[in-house]
Amino acid sequence: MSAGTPTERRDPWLGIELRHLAALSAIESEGTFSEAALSLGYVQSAVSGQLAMLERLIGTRLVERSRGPGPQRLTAAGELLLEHARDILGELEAAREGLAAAETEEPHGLRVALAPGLADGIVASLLTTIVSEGELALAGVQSLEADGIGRALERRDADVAVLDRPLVADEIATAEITLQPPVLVVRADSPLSRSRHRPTLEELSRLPFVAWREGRCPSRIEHEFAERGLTVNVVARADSSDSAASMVESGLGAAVLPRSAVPPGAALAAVELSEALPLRFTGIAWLRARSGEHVIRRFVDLACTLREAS
Amino acid sequence: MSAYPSVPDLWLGVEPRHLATFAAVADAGSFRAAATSLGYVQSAVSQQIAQLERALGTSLIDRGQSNRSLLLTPAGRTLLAHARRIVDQVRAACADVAYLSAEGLIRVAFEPAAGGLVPGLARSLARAGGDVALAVSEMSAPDVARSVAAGEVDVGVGAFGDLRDGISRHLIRNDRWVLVVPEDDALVHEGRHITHAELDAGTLIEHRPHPLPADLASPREDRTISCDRLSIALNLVRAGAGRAILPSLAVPESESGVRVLELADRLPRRAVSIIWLTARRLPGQLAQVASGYLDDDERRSAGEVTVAA
Repeated sequence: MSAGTPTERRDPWLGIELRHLAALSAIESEGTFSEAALSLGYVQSAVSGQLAMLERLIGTRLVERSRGPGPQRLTAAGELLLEHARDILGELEAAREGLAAAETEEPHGLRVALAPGLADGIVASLLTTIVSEGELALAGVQSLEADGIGRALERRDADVAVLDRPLVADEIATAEITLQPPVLVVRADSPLSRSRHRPTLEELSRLPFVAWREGRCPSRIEHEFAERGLTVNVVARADSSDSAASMVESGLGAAVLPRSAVPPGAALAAVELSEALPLRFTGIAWLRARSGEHVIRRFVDLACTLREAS
Repeated sequence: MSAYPSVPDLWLGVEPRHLATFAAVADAGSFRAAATSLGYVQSAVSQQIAQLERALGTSLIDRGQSNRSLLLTPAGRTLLAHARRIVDQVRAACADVAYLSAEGLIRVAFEPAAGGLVPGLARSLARAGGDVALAVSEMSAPDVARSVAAGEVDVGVGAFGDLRDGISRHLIRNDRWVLVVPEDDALVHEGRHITHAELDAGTLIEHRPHPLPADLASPREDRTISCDRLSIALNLVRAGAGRAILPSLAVPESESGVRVLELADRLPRRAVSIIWLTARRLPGQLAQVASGYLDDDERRSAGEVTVAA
């Protein structure tokens, strides 16, 4: 018995070994123990021993062991077990093929997870860079809640992620792409857009305000208001910076967004604020263990060129 | 070369137990938890995985994130599906041989509601010929599925949700939920279907092995009596302690002291199925006999039950 054979108290099937099944199979097809041994390249006693072990594990006789001339016959239990043995060996072969195929498999396209609070401008330029460079096939883009991103990377549901805030986890590597100060976004026809005056948060608190959807992304700007003892008059909540911008455009109110989220064109204006607000973080993340993979390295390189460009 | 299937060279030194350990590690998410579930020491588990990786010449488990749950490499994920099937097949082989040696003793696990189907199953097996005896055990549907998967019983009957790969099922009844009330309940004389809103005022008796669909179960915890045995649930109804919503199969037609009323609001039906380990050879045939009979039975009681599409 080889080392690691389970003890008797465990399920007997755990002790079954492939050579036991091969021995049964050979006895059936060769007809005698000696022929079976010959075809397997064992001595006869080894084949008998393997069969005896299998019968002991299974708890029943598998070969009749006739004394007279003619081939050995399997019992009904032996026949039944042999059918299973063929399935098992067939499945092992399928597994071997599966593993060989997996090794030569073409690398799949890049799957990107996006954080909810990202400025669409950043995402668009990042994805455009990936596609236009042509080296990386983009297989999918998926928007995830902030707390789902780490898990998606770990489970390899996503290869890389674009973040709207730093992600701290041992197994995740991150790089920062931009840190933009947020700006006040108003309609171009608003008096604020023409004023030279940089508005304060106190002044902002008197405006109708478009904020993040509650529960989705804790609104940092609302936190800033609260810290200053100001109540903000939230008239609408958006679940992406894109829809926030369009709400502003429709005249609902003003919003504080990263500059890159302000779509180019005449409809909206970006106004600098007088107070320093926390910088908007945009970064990328990947599974540290996969840092060596070509697709990951290439994505990180492309994302970093974007950082230099901005 | 001889005609019998040979063990591919790749598998030298690999045994079914290694694959079982690998599948257990993948399921448990850690070496330690796998060791506990298998009854090995942790070092034996790591050793078996290392042996498997050495034989296959590839790493199966990503050890980069040792502080979290383990991750499989792409090769590991490919192997896992095969490993599960092989483990099922070896387990099924032993269970089949055990069944053969037991000379016609069929081990059946039922969820309580499906208990009423046992006599019909026994009759159909007897008619199919051979000396068969049933060894019946009653347990909740998830336990039925676990016992079938482990090869501890030959077939299982119950309403199961999603089943893992490797378990076959044959639908035998699409059972409906009914309202069971004391025979002197005011609702009995309404002579119509009862809406959920009409039940809001009273106490509901819940039979834990047959949990109610979620939309009905939630907001009434303070007026719910939960019990784990069907006979107790029916006795509580009979004694006027409350009303119960039960699978219709669970309430015998002749049950005295209670009345069965239909519900006006549609609840999802319970798909009562017979299940077996796909890799098993004998119970597959048994299941066919059984389901054939139960279908006949169902046709005879036409009007009462609807077969699912």
